[in-house]
Amino acid sequence: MRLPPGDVFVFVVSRTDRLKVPLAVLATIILATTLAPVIAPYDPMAITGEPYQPPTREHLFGTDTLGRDVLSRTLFGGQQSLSIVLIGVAIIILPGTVLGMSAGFYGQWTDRLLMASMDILLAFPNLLLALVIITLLGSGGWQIAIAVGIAGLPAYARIARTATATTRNALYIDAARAIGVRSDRLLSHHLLPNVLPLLLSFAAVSLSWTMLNSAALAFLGFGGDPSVPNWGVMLAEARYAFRVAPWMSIPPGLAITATVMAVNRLADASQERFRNRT
Amino acid sequence: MRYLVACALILSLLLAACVPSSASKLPEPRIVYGLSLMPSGFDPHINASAELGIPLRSVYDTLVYRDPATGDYVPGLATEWQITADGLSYTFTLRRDVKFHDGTQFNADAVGTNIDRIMVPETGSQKARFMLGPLAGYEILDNYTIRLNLSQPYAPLLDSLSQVYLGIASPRALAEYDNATYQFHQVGTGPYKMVEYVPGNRLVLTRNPDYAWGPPFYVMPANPVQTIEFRFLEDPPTRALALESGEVQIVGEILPVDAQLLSGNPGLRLYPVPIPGQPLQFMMNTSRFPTDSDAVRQALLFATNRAAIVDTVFQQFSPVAYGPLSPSTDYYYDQVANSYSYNIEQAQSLLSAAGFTQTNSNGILFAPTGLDIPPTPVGGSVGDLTATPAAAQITGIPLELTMVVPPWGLVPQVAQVIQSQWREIGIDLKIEQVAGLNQLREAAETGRYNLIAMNSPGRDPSLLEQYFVTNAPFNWTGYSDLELDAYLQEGSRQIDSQMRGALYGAAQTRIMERALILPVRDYVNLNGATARLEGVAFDAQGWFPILYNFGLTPEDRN
Repeated sequence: MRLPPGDVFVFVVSRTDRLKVPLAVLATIILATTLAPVIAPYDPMAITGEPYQPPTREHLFGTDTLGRDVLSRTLFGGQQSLSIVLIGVAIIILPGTVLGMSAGFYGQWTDRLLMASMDILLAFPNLLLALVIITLLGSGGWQIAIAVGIAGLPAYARIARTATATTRNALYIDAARAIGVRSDRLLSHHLLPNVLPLLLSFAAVSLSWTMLNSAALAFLGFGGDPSVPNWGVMLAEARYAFRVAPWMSIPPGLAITATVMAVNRLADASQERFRNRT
Repeated sequence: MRYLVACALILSLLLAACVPSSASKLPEPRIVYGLSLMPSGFDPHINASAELGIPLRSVYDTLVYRDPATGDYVPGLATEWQITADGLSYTFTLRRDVKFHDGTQFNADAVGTNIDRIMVPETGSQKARFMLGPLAGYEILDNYTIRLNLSQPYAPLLDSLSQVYLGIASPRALAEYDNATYQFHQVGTGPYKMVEYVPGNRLVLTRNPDYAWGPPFYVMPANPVQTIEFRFLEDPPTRALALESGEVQIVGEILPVDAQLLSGNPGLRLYPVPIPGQPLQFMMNTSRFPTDSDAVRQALLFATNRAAIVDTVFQQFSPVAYGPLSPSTDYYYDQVANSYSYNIEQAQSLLSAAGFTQTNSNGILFAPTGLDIPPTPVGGSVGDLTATPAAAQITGIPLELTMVVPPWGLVPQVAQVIQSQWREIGIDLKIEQVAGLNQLREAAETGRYNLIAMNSPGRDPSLLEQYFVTNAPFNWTGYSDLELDAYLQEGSRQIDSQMRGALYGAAQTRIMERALILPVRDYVNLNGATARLEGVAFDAQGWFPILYNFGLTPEDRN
């Protein structure tokens, strides 16, 4: 099995049990984020110390450019970052699966029409597409989620289409069709389970760059209120302070990396399970 | 085979990178000047960007100049000028020894051609046209005398004529190119000639060897810089890095934290330059609750610890601002200084006088109803106060404010410090960051804000007219006051400088009495340059370098 170089470490760790480690990481992140109001030592929006402080006992991860506690902001930051990513991915997966599978399954003009429209969107680099959309929508968390969702949709729909089109002519599909299974049931009960592993792993890929794109949009000033903590915004702020306080970028950066890696591993591991089952 | 192809590709790329740009054929010494943004256009008669003046101030001469030290008007392309007593006509006597970079002789016709170009609507001038004010026309009295006629007196005219936006371009070049292409082939009479402009990449100037008609503060340095390449460093954190690595020899708008680091580097020098005009300020919306109340607006001023903002965000590189003009502006009125010093008790008593007497469970102040405040008028119908008095009494109206900020100039950071300061005394501030100038304008048009950040630079206080006169384009305070209108409108009509001083003093006092703005800091451009660069100086407008004086000491061989 080929692995992206960045995944080697996680691969080694997770050899023992491929699902447990990424699940534990994700659970920790989600738990820490939801429990932020209880466990965060400070109000994430309050200035509680001198700016640019290195980690100390009062501020475990130091303070940011304005003197706010980085640990508290990282914990609270997950709330907006993760909700944006979840909404964005939902916008990619739900319509993407429907559009892609219909195109792949029905073929003919349905395929041509749907894929031509997706190809028009694909012609733009997806961050550019997201930028165009958010310029129309205006700034804010919701707007970012919609923009990165729509921008990510065409690539995902293309994958769903290809997977469906190659499975469509498999012997067991022919067999199901021969005994009179209707098209919609064929799609949902026969094709979907077989393309699901591929779709899941691509959903994970979508999730990782949804995270990165939404961070980029937040960084470019489309996040609405800059005081609401968000990992992307924190990373952007830290970049401004990189010369004087390089540690500032580590907590939000690590949070993003850990989330993305855990999701990728989870997808790989579940793909493996599907494969073993069949 | 595949490796061979790859190697060939890489080699060809390397070779392409080594092809000399036209700049390297130009005379040495050569410096690279970092600009902080890429203007949408570089034509000073058409475009309004302040950034374009950094290179072009030295490509053009203006009829008059302002001495950066005194602010006095000194001869430029005009050796002398007479203003009639009624202030309606200005007669300029022009120099006879001036040639454009393309060899064309400078004369009164050239000035006329330039004025025509700026005045015709087809040019689409964004700033220069406006700077000419009520100009009615001109008369060419002889080859070297021109008279400008105004339909009403306009005191800022000389200041306008001293700026690059009214620089005199070669009539031949203007005829040769159209409004879209002239910006790539600009020809003036100034100390530098334009070599090329590649949008997004570079703009190159080279010294004009024939230049001998500069104003007195143009001083030839020992080792004059011959060629200047301007590059665009739009990302703020990269500016200090580019300076330290030697990629640029001078750059403006360095981040305050980086400037702090640079000041310890013996090979570099920091040049903080105060920019005249308006400070970083928030305009307060007087037509929206709760900033429609004088007491609330005054309370907000008292509740803001401006010294702390300057400390945190600007690393003490900027002075605290107290009024609508910074001290380097003409007719700055120093009596507004130290008004509304940070005073929480004062803020609290003003807020409770305005009706915000209770605190809710989140620590936010609110006004119990029964107060003379109309409920938010939706759809234009006046709310029925008798409808649900019981329910309204329990909740009250919380002290919530909306602030709209642009992404530039560290304004979002300032907004967040203010948010945190106001939160402590129970004011709930929502910050809305917009993506750029157009979005800021759109937000202003909706009127859904209590505070909005906007300011512009300029040495003459007549710029206030754009912001505080009742129907002015940037009257985002929504304030209307016939007396203030009169002070500002008369201010640009009066020629007498004592009169102007009195009028602008009264205007500044009124603006602060009524607490129309929340000024934060006077603008300071943090320029950094290598210590080898000599003669670094800036003109009376603060933004524009006097490139004529730039010299580069040869590198120390030891």
